[in-house]
Formats: sequence, C-alpha cells, structure tokens
Amino acid sequence: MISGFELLEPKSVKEACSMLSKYGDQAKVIAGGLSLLLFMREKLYRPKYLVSIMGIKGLDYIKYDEKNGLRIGALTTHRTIENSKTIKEKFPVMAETFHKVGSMRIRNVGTIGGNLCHADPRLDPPPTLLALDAKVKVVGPKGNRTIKLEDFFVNYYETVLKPDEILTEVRVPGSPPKTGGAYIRFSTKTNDDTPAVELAAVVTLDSKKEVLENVKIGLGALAPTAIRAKKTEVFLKGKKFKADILEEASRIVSQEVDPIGDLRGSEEYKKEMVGVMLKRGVKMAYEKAGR
Amino acid sequence: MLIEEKFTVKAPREKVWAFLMNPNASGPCVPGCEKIEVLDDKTYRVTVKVKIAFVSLAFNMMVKISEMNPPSHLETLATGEESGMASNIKAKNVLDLISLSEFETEVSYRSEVSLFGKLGTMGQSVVKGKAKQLGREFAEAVRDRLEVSA
Repeated sequence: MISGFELLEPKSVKEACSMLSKYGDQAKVIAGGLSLLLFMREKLYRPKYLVSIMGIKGLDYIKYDEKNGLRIGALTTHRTIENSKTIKEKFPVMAETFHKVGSMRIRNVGTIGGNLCHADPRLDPPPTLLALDAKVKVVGPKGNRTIKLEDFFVNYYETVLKPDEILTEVRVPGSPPKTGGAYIRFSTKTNDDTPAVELAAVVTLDSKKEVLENVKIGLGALAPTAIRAKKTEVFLKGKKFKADILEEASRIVSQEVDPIGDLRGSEEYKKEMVGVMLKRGVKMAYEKAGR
Repeated sequence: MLIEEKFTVKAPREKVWAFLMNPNASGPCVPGCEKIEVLDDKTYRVTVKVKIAFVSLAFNMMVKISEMNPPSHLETLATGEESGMASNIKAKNVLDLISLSEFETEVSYRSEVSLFGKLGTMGQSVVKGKAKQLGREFAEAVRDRLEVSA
C-alpha cells in the first residue's frame, strides 16, 4: 500500500505552482500517475505532498491551425491523441506512436504531459515528438517559457523543469507537403515490453519526390535521454534515396550513439540494432512521404 | 557495474596528481561533495549528496587507498551506505594519469561498482547515466581550477 503523503488538489495552474513553491523538494506533481506510482510502490520515492493536477480544467485539448501548428494540452491522454481525427490526418506518425503506448487501459489514463515530465528515455512518444521538432510550454510563478523538447531532457527521469514549474502544453509545428513519418520499436523480450531500441524518422521530399529535402531522426533507449541523431540527419539531408546512402547512414547512426547497456541489450547490440532500424525507419517514412 | 571514463587536462601530470591527491583542493570538484575528513594518510570519510531521478540521496562513504604509484596510478576501495533507501555501495576504483605532453595529461578512471538494497532496484542504466553526468561535471571542475591557474 502506498501511504505517507498528503494529496493536494489545486484548481488552477497558478494554485498548483504556488503549492510547489511552498513545499519545494517535498512535493511532486502527479497527473495520470502511471509511472510515479511505480516508484512510490517500490518505496524508491516518498514525497510528502502529491500535487494532483488532474482537477485543473482547460489542460485537456487538441487544437490545430496552419499558422500555429498543433497544440496539445498536458492532460490530454494517449488514447485521445491516438484517436484524434486531426492528428490522424495531419500527424499520422503521432497517432501510430501513441497507439503503441502500453495497453488501452494505460493509454486511457496516461497523459502526454506526464509522459514527457517522467523523462524515461525508453517511453514511446519522445522520439517521435523530437523528430517532429516539438516544443513544450512551461508555466511557473515567474511566468511562461517555451522549451525545445530536445533541450528539455537532462538525464534519466530528469528534466530542466524547476521544482515550481508545470508543463502545460506540447506544440508541434505544421509539416510541409510531401512529409512522411515512421515510428518503430524493438524489444528483445515480448512485443509490449520496454524497447531495446526505438526510432522515429520524419522525411520531407522535394517537389519531384527524388531528394530527401529534410530528415529528422528521434531515438529512444539509447542514451540517458531520448535524443536526435543530428549527424545522421545532416548526412541524409539533400541526398537521393538509395540503398548505398542508407547503408552509410546506418553506419553513421551506429557511431553517433553511445548507449548504456541494460537488460534489453548490450551497448554493442544497441549500436548494431539502431543501424538496422534506421534503414527500416527512413525507408518507411520515405515511402509515406512519396504517396 | 563497470564505469570507465577519461578526460584531458591542460596541465603537467605532476600538477594534476598533486591536485587530485589534495582532498581540500579536489573535494569541491566532486559534484555534491559536502564533507571530506582525513582520518589518516590513506583513509578518508566522505559525504556526498546527489539526486538520481527525482530522489535525493546522501551517501556516507569510507575511501581507503589500497595502492599508489605517484604520479600516475592510484587504486582505492570505497564502501558506504545511503540510509534513506537502506542501500549499500561498494566501489573498487583505479585512476591513471598519462602524460600526453609536457603540458597535457589524460585522466582515466575505472570503477567496479556494486549496489545493494533499494538503490539496486532503480536500475543499472539509471545509475550509470548519472555517473556519466557527474563524471563530466567533475572533469569540467578540475579543468576550471587547473587550467586557469596553469
């Protein structure tokens, strides 16, 4: 049984920030609670106060327009994102990614904000959101700030969030025409287990559908945070899609990562696998971009 | 769990060695190091506070020098506990200094770390990720102090 904490239920972001300012390190924000409660059940983490933001209205939404792109409220569940018509139409790779998060029961409870703030590099959404150039809006007592997702993660379970700040929104810029994306994960145990390697690729083709005008690669389970494969992206940008180019990109991405081995695969295995998955992921994204 | 890292410092090897062997000088470079007590010329008691994930931890460690070959090689055994998580830690450490030139030294270290108790359940990759981050911060702090005054 999990006990020994006081549950605080603010009705606004401002009130939540004020509670976090007051209790500092003794308090922790909780949304769906899926990941945090595992830590608490194992008695790895014993906060004095849990600040539940689930009662705050106005943080559960999906909005899209051409100028501002996509905006998702922090309390939007994985299931809502997976089923959103807007997301399926404008960002199908996001719908595919969120469909792969845990089971349906988990997707009905877990939120996009909680997922990102938990900062586990093995979760599904971060690589895709990185490849889509996502940003997060953060609110604190001193005002708002917007942070690129690639600057948000610091280490396992650590972000740049200050103790009294709350992530309130995820922003994804609109994709240019002839853009396609793919998200693939590979686990060495069961299909729904934590991945050994995960990769998201977003490819934009030129008007003749010949040249890789832009390629963005997000990686997970390969470092203490989800990361972008910037060297590989630079190599692929402006090149024609060919087998030998993909082969070279596969070699570059293997060299670019410096994984930490875990129960799902050794460092050497992960380096090898990310090369294999890069070829698959970029090919899938390329084919979708060309449709 | 094996942790291996290396970094270079633009300073002569003797100077780097003297700095690292002086706990009052090098202690503040260790991220989260709150206290170092010199018990004798081969034994130190060290208190380090770090945050792994969102969990704050305080380690009380005893560090014993088991082999020393100045100014290039040092072996230590560190044992300690973290009371909040009822955990113990044991680390066998090897430090080597290689002279790259008259004014540049490579510092390499290798630690075989064993974790017991709740801390062990947090996952080896999590602890290793933190160790890498702290290693980078330590290297930066050493460089800041030695290269400025070189």
